[in-house]
Amino acid sequence: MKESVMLRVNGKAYNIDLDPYALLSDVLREDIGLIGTKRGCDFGGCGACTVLLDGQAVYSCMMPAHHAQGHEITTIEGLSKGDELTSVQQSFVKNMGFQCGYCTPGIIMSATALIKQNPNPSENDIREALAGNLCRCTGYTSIFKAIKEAATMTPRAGH
Amino acid sequence: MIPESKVRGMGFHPSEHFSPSTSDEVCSLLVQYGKHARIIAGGTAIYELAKRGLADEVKQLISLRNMSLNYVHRKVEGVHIGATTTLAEILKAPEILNDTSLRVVSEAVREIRPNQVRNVATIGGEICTSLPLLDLPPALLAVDTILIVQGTEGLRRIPLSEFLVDFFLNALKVGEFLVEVLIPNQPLHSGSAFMKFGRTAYDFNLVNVATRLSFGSDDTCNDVRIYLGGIGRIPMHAIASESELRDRRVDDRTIRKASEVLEEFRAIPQIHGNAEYKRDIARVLVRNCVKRAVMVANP
Repeated sequence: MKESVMLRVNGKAYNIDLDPYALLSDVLREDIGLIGTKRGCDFGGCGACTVLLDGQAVYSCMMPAHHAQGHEITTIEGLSKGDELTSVQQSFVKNMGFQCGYCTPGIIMSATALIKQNPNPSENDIREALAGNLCRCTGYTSIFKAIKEAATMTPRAGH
Repeated sequence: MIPESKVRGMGFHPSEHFSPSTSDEVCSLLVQYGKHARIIAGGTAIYELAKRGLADEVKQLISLRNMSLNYVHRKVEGVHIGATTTLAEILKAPEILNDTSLRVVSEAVREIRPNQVRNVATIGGEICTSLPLLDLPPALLAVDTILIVQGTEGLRRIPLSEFLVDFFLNALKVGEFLVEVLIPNQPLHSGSAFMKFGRTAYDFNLVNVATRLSFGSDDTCNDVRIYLGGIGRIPMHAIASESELRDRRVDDRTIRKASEVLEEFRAIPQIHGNAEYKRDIARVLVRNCVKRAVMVANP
């Protein structure tokens, strides 16, 4: 039995008819059309589906969409202001913090949550924050470098 | 229309989702739907079970998200933790962080990775899923945790040691659900510690160990708990190891003896660690974990 539910994603409200078992990752991609959030393993192993729920990193592939009601969801599409990238995004571009790019939206969401909660993360803090995000291309070195450098850049308003 | 996701097993199609806000509603839904009703809190476990075909009978999902059970309070008896308190909230709670006798709990939560899981997974889920691979149950057993369970007749208390019955099986009766976890005040001069060993820091453990030791005025150990996870169908109570330490002075020799008596148990083998390997790891972990708990108790 479907239920009409209001979800707030990237500052916009969406009314969606949810199945009882709907996953947030499916709703973001299939109902709302925000396909920046990726599906990888689909059970909380790879981190490609990471989004922010009230600023905290969560796996959207393990989150009942019903549980996102009343919370502010942020996806990779919600970070930049038009063409203006956030400091984390700019730093990933500058430091080549990606290769194939499939894991990148999830990693940028985890990094964004980290820097918001801890503006001066140590190497260990970065590794701990990224423990739930797998990258099969880069070997992580360029990703850690990008996050370290992003933390030193002046955060833009709202990011 | 949401297309069928590969995460859901072919048979996982709950037909209803409830978010009740009172205990009475939760209990009556549980009674009404019986084995087809499943409580969810963070929601992380249900989809993983569904993918493995272990949730096909679930037809009603009962979410506790509106139940206001997110809290950590210190009261006369000890620390009370609401069943839907997330692991991330527990990690930040000063009631637990600042209590050296409860170090085993914060260390276990810190070992549950990643952040994405800690931010939504709950203490109630860690307990009620009743899986032997989890880190928090052994830690909570080491501090004599008591569970407060709501049923149609009211509240009742169950020691965690009697709650975990078997693989995926706990002592909840039809119509009951966990509302609160009570970690009682520990004896004076207690120290505790948690250690785990897995393939990587991110994986489920192969073996984990939780210990709590308490000391009398003459420096002898007057109370001790040692529990191991990843070994059997429920966390294993290392009674023989405990008796090597109880009422004795704890030194390298007694600690070694306590770890050696572990040799008797039969561990469930996994692809990354056969039974013999797990026994070896368990002996080392018990030794190191007891030493650390002693250091925490006598800084």
